[in-house]
Amino acid sequence: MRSGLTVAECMAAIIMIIMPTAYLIVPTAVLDFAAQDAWISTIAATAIGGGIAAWLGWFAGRNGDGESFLNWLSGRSGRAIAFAGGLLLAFHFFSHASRALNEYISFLKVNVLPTTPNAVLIAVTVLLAMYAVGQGIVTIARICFLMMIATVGIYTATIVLLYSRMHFSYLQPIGEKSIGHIAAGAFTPVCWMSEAAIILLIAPFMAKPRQAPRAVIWGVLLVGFMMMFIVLEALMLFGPNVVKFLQYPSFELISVIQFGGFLERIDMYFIMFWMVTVFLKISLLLFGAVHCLEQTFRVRGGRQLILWAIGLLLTLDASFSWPENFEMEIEAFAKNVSLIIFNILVPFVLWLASYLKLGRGSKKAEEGRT
Amino acid sequence: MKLVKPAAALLSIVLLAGCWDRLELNELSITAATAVDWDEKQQWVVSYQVVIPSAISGAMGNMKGGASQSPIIVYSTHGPTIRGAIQQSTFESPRKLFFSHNRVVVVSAEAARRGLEPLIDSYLRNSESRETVDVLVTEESARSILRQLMQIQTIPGEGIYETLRTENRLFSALPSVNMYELALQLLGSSHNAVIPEILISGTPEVTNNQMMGNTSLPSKLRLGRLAVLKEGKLAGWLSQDEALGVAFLRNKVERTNISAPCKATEPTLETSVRVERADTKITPVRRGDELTLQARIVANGTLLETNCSLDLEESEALRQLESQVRQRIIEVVRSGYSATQQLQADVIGLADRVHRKYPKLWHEVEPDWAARYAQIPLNLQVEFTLKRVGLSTKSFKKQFGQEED
Amino acid sequence: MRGLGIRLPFLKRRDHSGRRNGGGGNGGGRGPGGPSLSRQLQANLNAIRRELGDSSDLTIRLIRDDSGRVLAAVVYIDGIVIFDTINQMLLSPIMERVHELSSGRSSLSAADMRALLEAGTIQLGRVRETYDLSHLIEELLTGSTIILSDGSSVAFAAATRGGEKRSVDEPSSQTVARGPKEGFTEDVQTNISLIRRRIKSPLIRVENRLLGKHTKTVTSVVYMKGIAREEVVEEIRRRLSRIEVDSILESGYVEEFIQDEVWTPFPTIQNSERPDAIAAGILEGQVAIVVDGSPFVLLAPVTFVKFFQSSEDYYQRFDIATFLRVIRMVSFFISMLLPSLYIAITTFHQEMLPTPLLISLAAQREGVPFPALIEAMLMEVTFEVLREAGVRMPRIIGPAISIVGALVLGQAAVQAGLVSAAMIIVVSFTAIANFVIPALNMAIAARLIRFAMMLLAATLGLFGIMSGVMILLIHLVSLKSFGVPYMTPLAPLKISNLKDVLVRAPWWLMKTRPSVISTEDRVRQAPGLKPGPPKDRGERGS
Repeated sequence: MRSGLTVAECMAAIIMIIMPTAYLIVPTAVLDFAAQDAWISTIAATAIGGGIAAWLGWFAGRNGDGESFLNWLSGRSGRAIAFAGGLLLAFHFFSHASRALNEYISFLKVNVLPTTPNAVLIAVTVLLAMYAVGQGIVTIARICFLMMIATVGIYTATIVLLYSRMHFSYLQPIGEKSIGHIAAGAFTPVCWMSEAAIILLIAPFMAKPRQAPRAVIWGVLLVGFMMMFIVLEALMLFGPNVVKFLQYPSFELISVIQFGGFLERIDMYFIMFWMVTVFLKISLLLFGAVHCLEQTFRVRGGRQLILWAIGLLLTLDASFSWPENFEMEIEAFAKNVSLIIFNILVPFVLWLASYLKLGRGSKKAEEGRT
Repeated sequence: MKLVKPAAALLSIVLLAGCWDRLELNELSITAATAVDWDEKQQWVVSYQVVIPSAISGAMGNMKGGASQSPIIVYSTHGPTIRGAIQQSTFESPRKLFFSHNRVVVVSAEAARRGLEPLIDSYLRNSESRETVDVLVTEESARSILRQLMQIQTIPGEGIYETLRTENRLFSALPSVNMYELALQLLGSSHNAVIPEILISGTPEVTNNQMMGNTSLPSKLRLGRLAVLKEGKLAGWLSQDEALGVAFLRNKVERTNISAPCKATEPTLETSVRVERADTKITPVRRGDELTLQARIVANGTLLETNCSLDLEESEALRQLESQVRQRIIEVVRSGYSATQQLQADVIGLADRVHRKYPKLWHEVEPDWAARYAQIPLNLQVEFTLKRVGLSTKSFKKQFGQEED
Repeated sequence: MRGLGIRLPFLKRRDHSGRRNGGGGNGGGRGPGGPSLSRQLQANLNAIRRELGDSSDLTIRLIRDDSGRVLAAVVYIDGIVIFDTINQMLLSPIMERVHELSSGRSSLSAADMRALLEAGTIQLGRVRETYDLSHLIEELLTGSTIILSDGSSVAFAAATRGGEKRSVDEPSSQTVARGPKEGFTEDVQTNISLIRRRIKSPLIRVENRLLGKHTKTVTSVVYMKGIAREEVVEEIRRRLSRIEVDSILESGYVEEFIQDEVWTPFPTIQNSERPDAIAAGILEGQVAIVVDGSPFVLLAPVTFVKFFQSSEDYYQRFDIATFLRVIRMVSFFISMLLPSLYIAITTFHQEMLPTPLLISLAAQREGVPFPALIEAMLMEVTFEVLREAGVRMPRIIGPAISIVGALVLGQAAVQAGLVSAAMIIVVSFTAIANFVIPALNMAIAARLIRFAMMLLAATLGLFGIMSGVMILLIHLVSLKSFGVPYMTPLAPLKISNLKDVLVRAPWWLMKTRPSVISTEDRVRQAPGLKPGPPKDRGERGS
């Protein structure tokens, strides 16, 4: 057994790559379709997501020797496929990091720092992410773990503080919306949960890579649970009609906390915690991109170079290439599609390819077997 | 060089660039209350009650003019939209208006008749304004409410907020409605809401510190009736009794005080009972196409005062008291209910309950619910128990009478 | 050591096999051989005098036999030897024996002299033979007495190291209310003896080496075999032997040369002036490094949480110890973050303050000329200046001036309208919180980071503070101290080790040693040691 990530830390990393941006939007996204039955949608999404996670975890667990994913893949199915897979995944992680950064900065501009120029916020976040990636995935995963524990505490605190304002009656009538609506509401969370595909890259860093399925399934289940939780809270506090037109309902929840006459307007504390989690997500995505590129191109000692290059590219991309106008619906749909393509289809193709045994590694293994 | 590089890069960005969002405390105008009026020129008039910290706090060595300076200052701006009006304040104010500590929004009846949607939208859309401000309505000019100084509480905005909270807790006739609750009510199935009223009772207005020097103020801020909004627009008023009845039906009564007569035949109210707890369940009951409102109120309370000739150790006397209180509650609730029916405003949430219980029926009756509501009979059941009678076992009158005999 | 530069070509170079090591486990650090001694006493004495530049504290006592011929010489450097020992144990016996032997003869031969010396005339525990001039000089300079005999190229070095030493006293830093009041002194032998008196186990290993070209500082590595990890001990040995430097005057020098990470404000090596703390560390598997000339003994490897543990925690009851530990942790964060939080909240996020507080603060700020950051920086720098001045002031005036200075200065500044009163409170509370941290090196880290945080807070508000905290967190989680991750047992999470982190579990619960620091044999207590009155048999109602 080598030293590496424990199952808990890996699970925390999976949670942190899905949850932070989902936290912002999940009530609105799901409620658009399913109104007060949105929480049922989240349960459905968790079930489907869990299934996808199980498959991804199993795929990741097959690479049980701690070899990096792309190396293992090229050993199995040949360099060409690994090369293509690496490039596609790197592109996906990069663009997703850019998008996550976009959402993060938009939120900050609205709620926290309205007049600070985008460039500064972007530069600070990207620098921090680069530093984190430079220290390695083990460090990032450990911090994810610490933040996960803190998040549990925060969720509990929000329930306790908001309890008096919650009305169970807002959840009724149950089942008013058809199954079709509920399923449509579940679509977006499932797409988000597919981001657990990063387990493919993280599993080799675990102390026992064969335990990857356990980590990722637990991670996705917990994410589903948290999503259901948030949706329930938003519904019970605001009711389905109000949530639909709030852009960040989860933070509206916290703005209305008024406890004991002095504990009010404390949403900044929660925002701070959330900021750390988003930053971890961006670091994880950046790690994905850098790792894939590093493994694909095998530049000797090139980690620093790739790191700085990607960081710079990310900053530029974030500063210049985002759409100027605010088109939410098309963007959301396109995002879901891209998530499915890169997180599910590409690994699916790679998984099939890993059975092809085209690579030299598999031949060597067969020859060298004693 | 693990830590130095990113730390140096971070610090250099940060230092080279400067700071944008910084606002020192002495660059803020802390607003304690806002008022929204609609004037003859068809424009929104927004007034702000700004706190002057040095007049209130008198920090060490910084006493400027001390007690003679008023703790607040009120000024108004107008514009075609609410936010437009607020922006006009930059022409007048040396400091940026800071709304996060705003406690109350007072809306004039005129503005309320036009509809509160712009106000709610502006509050929910901006991150600076808090959705937890209490909303109140006034028939006078909203600006004059802001100018009125208050006893005990230096900042009148805080004072109005606290008065409302206290009333809510101890008398429960007027609910405190904050901005997001208002949005919730208006977006509910019936699209109606209630807002408390505030008024200045007495004349002249107390607007400067000189007048605050007396032991008794000529005019005070006071909570009044309950305003009813239909579809976001002011439609009518409910008196305090009617408001209490509505509060019972909405299950918002925490504690209240009921005065009851000794016997049904005597009209004078001689007994005072504090209701400690009241739980209400309202259910729509459907028979065929007919809907009835079934309401059940379970309450208990303490006897505070009675001038009836009663020996409270007799259970018969207690029963009598309870039944009088029960009658009174029934009267109050019925008067409230019929007042809302006259206004054709469903403010008790019946629409939501019908929606939940009979979804299909709801879709049919939804279009003209207001008219339908006006005809729904009330089936009321009240139970009242007197849990405690205080420290005396007999009413003083009875004792007095016995002594005389 | 190496290359003294003296080549006496007519002397044959002897090899090192002739040297004997006295005592157990003590190795002498020597470079490759220097010139050998000659057979002539006078030549040797001249060589010694030349080497030491005819230093006036070099004392040479010639031993003559009855006929006046010089037989031998006793050489020592005055001041660093125990004079009484030399007289009683060395000179007296030698003189007596010489007198005895030469009473019958006219002169003693060299061989006689040598036999006399070897026969145990010198009544001292440790006597070494040496053939080598540079080694001889080394011994001389460390306080040994050299006995040279004419006609023999062997010199005897007797251990008479002495000189004025500070007696074992209460430690000046790290004082406790309950616990032993012994502190280390500057003498490495005394220090090791203080450790040995506490750990009377044969598993203790003491390895000496000499560091520093000119100072030849004795540095001892002390650990318990079988409890400390071999890799760690090996790594420490390796790093110590890499040091090539002119002087080692204090353990801080050694610390800087062997620490894991240079560019960090956080210490990766612990130090303590208390023998009980060092002994406790050794018993848990840490390795101690004792440096001559310094009462501060180093301990490695160390984790972040150890810096918040004080020895007193273990002597008082566990409930108060837990409470104080929590206070220390909180104080660390306060001393690092409070001024920046104040700046961030009052300039960026004023909505977080309750209204009365906001109004009071706003009232205080009226008329203050500086923005919050400048105010904070001014006051923080002033306090640092006062603190540093307090260290240098003579004992009598020191405390008075620092208290008066702080209060009066603060008060006057507020009344002059230069700063607001709240800022004074914030700054002084930060300074006080800084003193709560038991380990000075960690407290220094907090002091330094505070300023960077203030800058971040002033430009980006809470976002800036969070970025700073993130950098620190990433840095701390990736830091290692001799192979042990710095943030153990929080990250990586080891639940069994958590019983000494935030809380101090009662002694009867701490059955195993921390797994990261020590090896597999971790049981240190018998199970079932929870105290309680004896179980009575058959007594009712209890």
